[in-house]
Amino acid sequence: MVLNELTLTKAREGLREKKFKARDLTEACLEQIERSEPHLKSFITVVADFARKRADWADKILQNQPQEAKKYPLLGIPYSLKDLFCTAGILTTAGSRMLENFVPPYNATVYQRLEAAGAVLLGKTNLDAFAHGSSTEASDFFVTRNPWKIEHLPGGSSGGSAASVVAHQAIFSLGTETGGSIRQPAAWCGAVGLKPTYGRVSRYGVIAMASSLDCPGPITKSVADAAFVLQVIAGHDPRDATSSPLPRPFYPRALKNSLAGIKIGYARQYLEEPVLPAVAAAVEETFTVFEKLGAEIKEIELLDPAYAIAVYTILQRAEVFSNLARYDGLRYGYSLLRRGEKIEAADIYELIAANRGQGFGAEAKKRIMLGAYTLAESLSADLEEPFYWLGQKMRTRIVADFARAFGEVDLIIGPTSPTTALKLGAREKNPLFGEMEDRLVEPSTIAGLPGISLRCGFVDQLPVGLQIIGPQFKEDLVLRAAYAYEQATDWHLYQPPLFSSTRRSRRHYRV
Amino acid sequence: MKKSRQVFIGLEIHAQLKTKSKMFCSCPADIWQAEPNTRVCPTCLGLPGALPTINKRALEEVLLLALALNCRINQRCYFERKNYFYPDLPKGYQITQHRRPLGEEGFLPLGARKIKIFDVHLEEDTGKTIHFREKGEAYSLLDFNKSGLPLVEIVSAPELRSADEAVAYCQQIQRLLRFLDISEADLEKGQLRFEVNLSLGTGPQLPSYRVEVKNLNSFRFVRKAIEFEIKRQEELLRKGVSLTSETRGFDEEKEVTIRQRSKEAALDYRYFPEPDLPPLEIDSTWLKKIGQAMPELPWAAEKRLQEKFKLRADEARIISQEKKWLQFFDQAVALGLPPARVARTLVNRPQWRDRTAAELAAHWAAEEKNRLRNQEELQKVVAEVLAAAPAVVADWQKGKKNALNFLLGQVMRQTQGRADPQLTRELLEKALGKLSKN
Repeated sequence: MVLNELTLTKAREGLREKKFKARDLTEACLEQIERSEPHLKSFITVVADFARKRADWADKILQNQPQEAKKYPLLGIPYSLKDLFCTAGILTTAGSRMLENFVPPYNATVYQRLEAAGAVLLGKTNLDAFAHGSSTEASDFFVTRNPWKIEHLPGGSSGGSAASVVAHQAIFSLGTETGGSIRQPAAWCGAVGLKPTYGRVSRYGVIAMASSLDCPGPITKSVADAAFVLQVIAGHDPRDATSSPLPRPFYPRALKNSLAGIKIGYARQYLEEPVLPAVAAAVEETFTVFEKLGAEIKEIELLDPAYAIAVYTILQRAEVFSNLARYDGLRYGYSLLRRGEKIEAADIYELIAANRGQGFGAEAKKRIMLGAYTLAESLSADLEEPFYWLGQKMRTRIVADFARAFGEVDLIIGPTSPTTALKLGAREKNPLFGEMEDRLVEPSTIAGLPGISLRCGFVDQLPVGLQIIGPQFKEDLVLRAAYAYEQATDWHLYQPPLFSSTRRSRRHYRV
Repeated sequence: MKKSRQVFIGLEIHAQLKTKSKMFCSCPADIWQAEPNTRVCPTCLGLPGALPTINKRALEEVLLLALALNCRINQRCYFERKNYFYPDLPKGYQITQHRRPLGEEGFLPLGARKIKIFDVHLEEDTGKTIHFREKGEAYSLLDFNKSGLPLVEIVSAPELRSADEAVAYCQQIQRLLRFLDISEADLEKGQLRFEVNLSLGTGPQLPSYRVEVKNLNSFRFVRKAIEFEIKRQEELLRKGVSLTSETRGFDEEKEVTIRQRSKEAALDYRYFPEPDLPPLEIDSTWLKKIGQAMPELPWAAEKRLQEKFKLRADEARIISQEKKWLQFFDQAVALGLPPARVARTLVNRPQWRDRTAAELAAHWAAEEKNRLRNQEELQKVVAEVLAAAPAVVADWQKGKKNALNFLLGQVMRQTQGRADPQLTRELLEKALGKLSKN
């Protein structure tokens, strides 16, 4: 048994049955991190000593207080956290130079819940700076690699999280999604990535990208693991006014092997250009699996995802413009003065501009500029109102379109990404790279819907992601369909040859 | 000939609400004399990832005020972000209301006039920047205790016509805030701040420009700023200069306004709905409940005192200045004390304003009990007083009836105020009459 390769479900069992110690499990992950990091680069910060202490604490409870141990659903389970969650006393960079030295004095609610559940934090994972990107190439520090093929991208922005799970550095991870940032890297790395309904999981302490879209969620090795992590992190948070007071069901109970009576829809545009034919084919092959499980597959009409890209771009940039305004380098963050650099600033505004000019990377600056434009009253003289407001109206249309579609079907499926993982450098050619890559997830993110990505095949030894979207707060149904599919197929059994002890023969990969 | 110009003044008043905690976090709102940066948390410091939550009490207070100002309540409204950079604005935006304020289109009674109120809305305060010089170097320090305190902003139409009227309006707002018990409105503590919009026109038409004077923190400065602006603008107009909109500051030492920025450089605040807060939906039952808790408003009380108790206008105005005083008056009357005398006491003896009606009643009862009504004893004092003041007696005899009051005062003094005034007067008159006959 290679401990770090266990799923969360198996690792829990092993710990409770005292087959191994939490410390052993943590050490296995730390060793894997040490072994693989030079190639994979998924972590910005590793907190090895902190993890060992936590693991020893978990062991004490597991060994001496079996009753007490039941109160900690994730006791002794090592995990990684996207470096966008504030962790008190632990560096939290958002992948940015602006916050390269930022140590928050407080905890994100989700991190607090994981700590309270007894999980063991291993470290903070790489991302596109401020989560602006779909590849981790926009990280201000370094690029994370795809565990299946090292010269390929892991996707993003939660690329470090997805890579760390698939490469067995961590038992599970937590990412955040604004428009694909959980599902797309999960698809490219071949992990399970669950983006819950907007408001299902607290955003408190998550460094904001676009507040009306941001949503934390699990990235795991299996669907059951995702259900389990969601159970721990979901639920109302009085510190987040946009978090939902709806009670949460017990998600692991939703996992069933049958989909009898479930109607699943797919839209033609989600399978056409620019979606790669091999990706579309892999997704279409899932239809027969779902039918065998008792589901009915039905073609439905949905708005062209192209509209969603426009709406998403306008809204997200506007909120980014405003959310990044706090980074002026005066109180914390990148500061020329604190760095002892000689600067010439006539007034405070010039100092702020200089700090921001150097602290922000190119992508953040582009987004700030575009957001400043879409919100400006003074620049939209020929429009009735700024682009932002027009975008909000279109958003309402997209929400309504999904509501209509969910009148016809229970779930919607399609590819997560139009392609499999692209090679390093792909981003540079296209300023809207992310939006093109995320075109199939942005419509549902705009509508605040829950969605999951899981493996449904391989193309050239790279995993293909299937996404399943449900109505708002129907995570249980989304998880149920994903679980039934996963159990009916064996795609989840494949391991990345470079980062695992066991490997499946290459002939199993779809070519 | 000097043309008389029409003055248009609009006021924007910011008042700090009376709440236990700040607007969007649970930090204490009582920051008076607190050490800098000791009433702060991730939210009011604008740290990465921190989020706001709404203080319901503040919402309730603004709704009460909006109802008192006869506003239409936007039961569906929302907060917006006002985006601009300033070191004491830690998020780079202020959470405020812009397109859909809580209250709109109300009015404030001011004497015989009704001053139109454009909007009443809720927002958060910024931090404070303290500039100072030491050893020739300039420093700026930031204190975020004030950051995130709940403020109500009251925006009037440009309907005020003079400095006097503008100041009266400000005082009327202060009186209302205190009456509603939603703000201490203490100028010393910076809990009430004013911005004046002023322009001069040749007729009833509102001019196309307006000059905004920001950061006025006392009634006196409101007056001085208005007087200065009227004079400044009049002179320019007389010279034929056409005025344009601009924002000006106020120099408290020189009592002049100073240009800060012109309209051309006007900021685009890029307002948009605050995505961290869901839209507000003011429940009708809740709103009704707030309305039902509305106390008698000061101007209604003022009218009642005059009509029901026949108080003088100035007495009624003073007593209805503070809810506490009005309560004192009403309680005293309910205890059976004579309204006119209670009113006189409250107006002329401010020391009584901080005490209770029951105490006044007890005091008067004790006085009454102690009253010197013994005719013989009093007559003795009267005779002494008259004997000691022959000149005054002569005055009275010459027809100076005021002399009696002096003599009455003397008797009071002799008896340490215990003499019954009515009886003394009678005895004095009788004695004086006798003296004249003799």
